[in-house]
Amino acid sequence: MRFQSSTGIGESELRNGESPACHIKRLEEELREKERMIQNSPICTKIIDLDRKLQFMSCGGVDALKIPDITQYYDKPYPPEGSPRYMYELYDEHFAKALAGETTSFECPIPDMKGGVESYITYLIPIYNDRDELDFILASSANITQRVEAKRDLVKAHQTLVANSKMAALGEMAGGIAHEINNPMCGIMLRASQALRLLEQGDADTNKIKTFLKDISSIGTRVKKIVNGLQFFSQTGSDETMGIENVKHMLDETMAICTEQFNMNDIDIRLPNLSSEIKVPCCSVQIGQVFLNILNNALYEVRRQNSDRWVEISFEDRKNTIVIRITDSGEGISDEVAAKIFQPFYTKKELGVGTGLGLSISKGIIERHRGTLVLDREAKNTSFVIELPKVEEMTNATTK
Amino acid sequence: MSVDKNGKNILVIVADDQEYLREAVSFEFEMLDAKVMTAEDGKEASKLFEEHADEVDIVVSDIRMPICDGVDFLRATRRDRPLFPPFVFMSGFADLALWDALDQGADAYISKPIDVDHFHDVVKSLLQPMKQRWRRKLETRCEKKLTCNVRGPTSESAFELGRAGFFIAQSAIDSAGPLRVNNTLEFDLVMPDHPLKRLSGSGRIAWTRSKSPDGLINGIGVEFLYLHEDSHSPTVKYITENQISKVIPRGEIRTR
Repeated sequence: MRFQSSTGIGESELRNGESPACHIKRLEEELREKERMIQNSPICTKIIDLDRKLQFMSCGGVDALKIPDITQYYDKPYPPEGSPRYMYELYDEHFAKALAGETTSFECPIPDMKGGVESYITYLIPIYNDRDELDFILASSANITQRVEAKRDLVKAHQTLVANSKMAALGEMAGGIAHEINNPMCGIMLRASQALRLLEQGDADTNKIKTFLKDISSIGTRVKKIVNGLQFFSQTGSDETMGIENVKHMLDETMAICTEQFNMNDIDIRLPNLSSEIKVPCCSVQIGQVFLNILNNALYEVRRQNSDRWVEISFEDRKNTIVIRITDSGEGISDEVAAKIFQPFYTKKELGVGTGLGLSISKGIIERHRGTLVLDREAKNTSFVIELPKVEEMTNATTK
Repeated sequence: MSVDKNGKNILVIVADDQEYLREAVSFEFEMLDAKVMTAEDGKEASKLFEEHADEVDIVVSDIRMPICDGVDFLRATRRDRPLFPPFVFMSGFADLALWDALDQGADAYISKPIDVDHFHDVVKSLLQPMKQRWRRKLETRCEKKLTCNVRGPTSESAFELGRAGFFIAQSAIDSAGPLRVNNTLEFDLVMPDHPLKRLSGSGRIAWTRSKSPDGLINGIGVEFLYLHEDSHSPTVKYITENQISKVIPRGEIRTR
């Protein structure tokens, strides 16, 4: 669509019986009406000539940008001197497009003269005269601060949800974690107290005391392992950046948190023999969170079985992807449940046990990594399959 | 310090799935010149107990163990021997309600990490024959006093005697003020409908229950510290004759 300079200015023809004076008066009134509309609109309307000099700015724009005297900016290059660098760059790019006849738009924060900043969307529209020559560029900027903030809030709310669901998933493992910390603590404290008592007795057997101290230091490494796992999972949102991550490391940290909970429930855990060479581009905490969510579900299902309880994690190195399959001894999932299993807030767990977000968040995470998470309907048992692209595919991967 | 029975060393079973804990706990007993047998799960421990049931003086067991856990082991132990030997649970996590552990016949529930002094106090006290326990008056005054008359049609569920304490329902307690776990309590219970008729002495509140997820009636579990001389022998006699295995009963499930 092409815009003419005269577009929208009322009937310029002389009406029947209308005197030339009346005609001029009517045209002036119509013009004033249009001008009032432009001036009173909250949209900041600017007329920029082909040399990129500002010729006009509507009252709405002057008010919004808190400009004391707009006339001093007229016939001067736009954006005015002292604007942020990105504004010049945006205008450089988009003004060139407009001059080439393209209607174009961009979003950016624009500072006002009193130090405030709001977000605007700016349209640059080329306007033609009656001779079909480019006349000027019409720039219209609308304040979209609320929309930008709402979008930012939504992104933040989503990040919070993912982080909370990670904590909920960790919470389901809390019993095992407490047990796994208390047991070594108990061993360390007993051995320390025993060594002390032996020393106090006077006839200390140094070999025995040495053995106890060695015990203390080796038992300490057990606590370190689970604390490392907790630290791995408690990295906050800002640290959730993409990197080339070692698959074995992510699985080991997850298992440090989970193993005890599986042991306590008498569930056999079968792990793949992974080489530390296998790496994928990903956010390791998020992939760990996916493992944790699937393992939580497996734990919940399998512990209700009477015998032959197991969970198996297997690994397959394909040409362009890696495949991690988590299968449990459960008898599979009915079609009805399978249809809903990835939906948010769907849970079979009792109130207070599951959030119903684990699998939907996991699917979201894997899809953001350009991979897939599916329930294998062909498998005899319950089997979830994660497929992630390998290093070579995504060297320029960025977060989110 | 060594603990013995008639000049012989005492025999202990220690069950825990973690080797370092089995060894560390065993050493606590070895320092008392006790003989220790260890097991790494409930099944092995039950087998060990079966073979030495007449000789074992005390059992210490973890709750969470593979194959067959501590609760299964306790049941196996109490099946033929409701009163003896004393059975001590150790746990690093609240995986069993205290009232359930005591109700099923565990004599004590020690949380990990173990406080060594507390552990030895418990063991020493449990190694005494029942007749000798609860004989010494407390040196300090009890924090709370509980005097009540347990009678009427509710008496059966309002009070239940265990072999080292009792359960009393909240409905039977009228004037003791707020009762909290570990409060010492001087009690004098008049129970015309109970064969004991009267029970007086002092104790420690082992647990309180004001809201139970299992529908158990509200009340408190009291562990004996001292029994009045008029109460002592009838109580010990009653426990022995009735072969009461519950250490402190957990109370009944609300029927209405």
